[in-house]
Amino acid sequence: MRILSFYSIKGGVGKTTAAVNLAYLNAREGRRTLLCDLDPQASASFYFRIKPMSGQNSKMLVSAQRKASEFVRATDYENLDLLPSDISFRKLDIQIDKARKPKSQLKHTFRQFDGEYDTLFIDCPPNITLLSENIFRVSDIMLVPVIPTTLSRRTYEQLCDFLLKQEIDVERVIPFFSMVDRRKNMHKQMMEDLRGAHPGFLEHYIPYRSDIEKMGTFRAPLPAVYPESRSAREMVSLWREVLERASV
Amino acid sequence: MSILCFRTEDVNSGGFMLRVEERFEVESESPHESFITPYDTFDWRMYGNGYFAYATPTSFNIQESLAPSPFLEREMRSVPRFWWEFKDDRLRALLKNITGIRALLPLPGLEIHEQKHRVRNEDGKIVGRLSILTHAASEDGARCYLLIEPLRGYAEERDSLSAMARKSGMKRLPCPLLEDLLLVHDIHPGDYSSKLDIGLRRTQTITEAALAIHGQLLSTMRSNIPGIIQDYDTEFLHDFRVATRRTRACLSQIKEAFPPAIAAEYNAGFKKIAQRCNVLRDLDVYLLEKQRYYDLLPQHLHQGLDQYFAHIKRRRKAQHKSFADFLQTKTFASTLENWGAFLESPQTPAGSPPAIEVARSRIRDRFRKIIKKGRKISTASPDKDLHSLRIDCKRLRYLLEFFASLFPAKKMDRLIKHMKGLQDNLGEFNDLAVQQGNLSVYLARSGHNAPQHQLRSAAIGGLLAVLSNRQNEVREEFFHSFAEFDSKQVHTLCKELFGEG
Repeated sequence: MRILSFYSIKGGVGKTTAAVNLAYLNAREGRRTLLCDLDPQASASFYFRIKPMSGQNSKMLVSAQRKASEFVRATDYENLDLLPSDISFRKLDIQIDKARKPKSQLKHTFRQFDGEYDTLFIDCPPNITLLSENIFRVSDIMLVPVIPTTLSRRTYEQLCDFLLKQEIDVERVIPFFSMVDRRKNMHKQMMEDLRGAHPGFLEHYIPYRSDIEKMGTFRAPLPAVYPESRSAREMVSLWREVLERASV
Repeated sequence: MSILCFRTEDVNSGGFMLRVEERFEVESESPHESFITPYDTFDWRMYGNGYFAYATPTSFNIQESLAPSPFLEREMRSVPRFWWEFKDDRLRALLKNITGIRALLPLPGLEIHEQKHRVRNEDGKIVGRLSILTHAASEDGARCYLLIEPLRGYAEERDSLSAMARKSGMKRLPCPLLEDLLLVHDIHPGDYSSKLDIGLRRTQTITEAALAIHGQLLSTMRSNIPGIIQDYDTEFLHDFRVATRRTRACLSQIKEAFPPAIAAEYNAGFKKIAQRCNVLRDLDVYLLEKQRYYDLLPQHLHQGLDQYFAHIKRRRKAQHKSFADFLQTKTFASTLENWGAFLESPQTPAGSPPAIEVARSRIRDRFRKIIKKGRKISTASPDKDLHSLRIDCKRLRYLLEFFASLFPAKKMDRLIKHMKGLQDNLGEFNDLAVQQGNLSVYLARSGHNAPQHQLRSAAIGGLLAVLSNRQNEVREEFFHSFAEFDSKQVHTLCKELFGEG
């Protein structure tokens, strides 16, 4: 089982959009996929029309008593299940801190899905916390969306510094551009600069486009509803590139 | 969570869909017709292992019998008979394990109309999938089924859909869907097995017991005849032969059951039938073991074997034709008919003893005989002593199988397990002797002069040497196998089961 996490220190950068669409594409190719919505904002759950859990279920991720697999729900799509978010996930940090091995707690939790799924997608909450550190350690690949703006560049570099300090393999990080507005010169310029400074960025990116924005209205992965749209095709290209890079 | 299957006369009449629509949003997919041909081996190996194989006009599919859809789906327009003839690796591996040397045969086709519905909750999330299947062309009217396919995490919704089905007068299907569908054609999955399964009662007389045993054996013989004639696979003949052997064993070992003259007459009749297919069965075994023969010889002699097996194949074809013709003669038909008629209204001797008493004393006697004979065998004994012991073991084995239901199952299983080692050893010894005999005859009859014949003779000579070595080994192993059988454990087990006499 391979674990892919979608992570950004900053919120509102298109992290959940990428996680939902790429998890769908992965499942569509026949790989058994579980998307874990660890963000208490529950946006990924919302996109799949799955209600977040009732609260107080965060313990399933940190104790052996309740198995996370009991909470898994089927999405409307073949091979794709979702572990819904729970408002109590906001307290995960404190609970992980209390666990016996705080730095590798999630590794233990996710092991139960071995054999049942081929790929685990994790939609992480923003921030650098003990939880994100756990996620870094458990992930085979970390996909990091970056809006080509000055502030986003700053947070991306902060993340790289942090990982270096924690001695976490930066090679596992795959950055890609998100919410790119081709009309803005500043976006184009920033993409060029960032590619120059940090060679790992993917060629393909997720554009800023109204059909992607509308996902909140039709509540489904874009390639499932408008498979022929330009945005959907761009998602497919981005996913192909991830597959080549990461051999999922 | 498994799929729930309901049988209903008519899905609409019970108001089921209306009930569902009251609570959920229902989205219907466009209906479609499918024509499927189920496949299984004659002895139901797919069904027995919980699988359902079927072909559509363009594909071959395997699913678990309670699953909503196939887990293996491969495009193909015609379905091969044996696992090794399939091209796909996954299919080959799966079928190899399940079907072995048996042929996959088509069952009568089923024409199915399917209407699928997606059931959504107030958020528009799919919380269940319904499928309504109708099989129209059956004599007892339309057969209609409702399948509720559950979704992970939505057990509550599944339960309420299931409650709606029950409220609408539908009944849960007690068996897999396929099983119920095949009843349309009066086909009962799992109704054939080569294993003897006779439920005897302790109060039965030996004549009643013998009639039950013979009845089942005769039905096994009859049901295998079409498969032998059509030559689907080798096991039809094998099962047929085992049934005739068991019939003869029952006639000769349980003398109390019928008047002696009648038993002798039918025993002779079945012997003749068996003799007519001895050679055919030997040739079948050769061909089944073909690869093993090749493996015994170095590569450069394989060409010599090719000629030998071409010869075997030709002989088998002729033998099969002659036996298939015989099975269609009046003589054969009347033998079975007369035997069947006798079993229907037997002339029974007065004062037939209880089956359990005959079983105990006959098994005890046979066991003692084997022990006595076996202990006498030494390294100097002639081969025929081993052959004779093999026959005695077989006779004991048949008795145990006939009367198994009269004794505690666990102890009987243990005893049979202890016998197996010895029987395997004696069986292999005999097979090796038969094979060497046949090879020698072939070698003596074939020409030796042309160069390709030299290669053939070398191959046969090589095989004779290897087989003879192996036979010597097997003979040495006999003493060990027999000692295992002639053990305190087995003696105690026999005393517990069959008494001291």
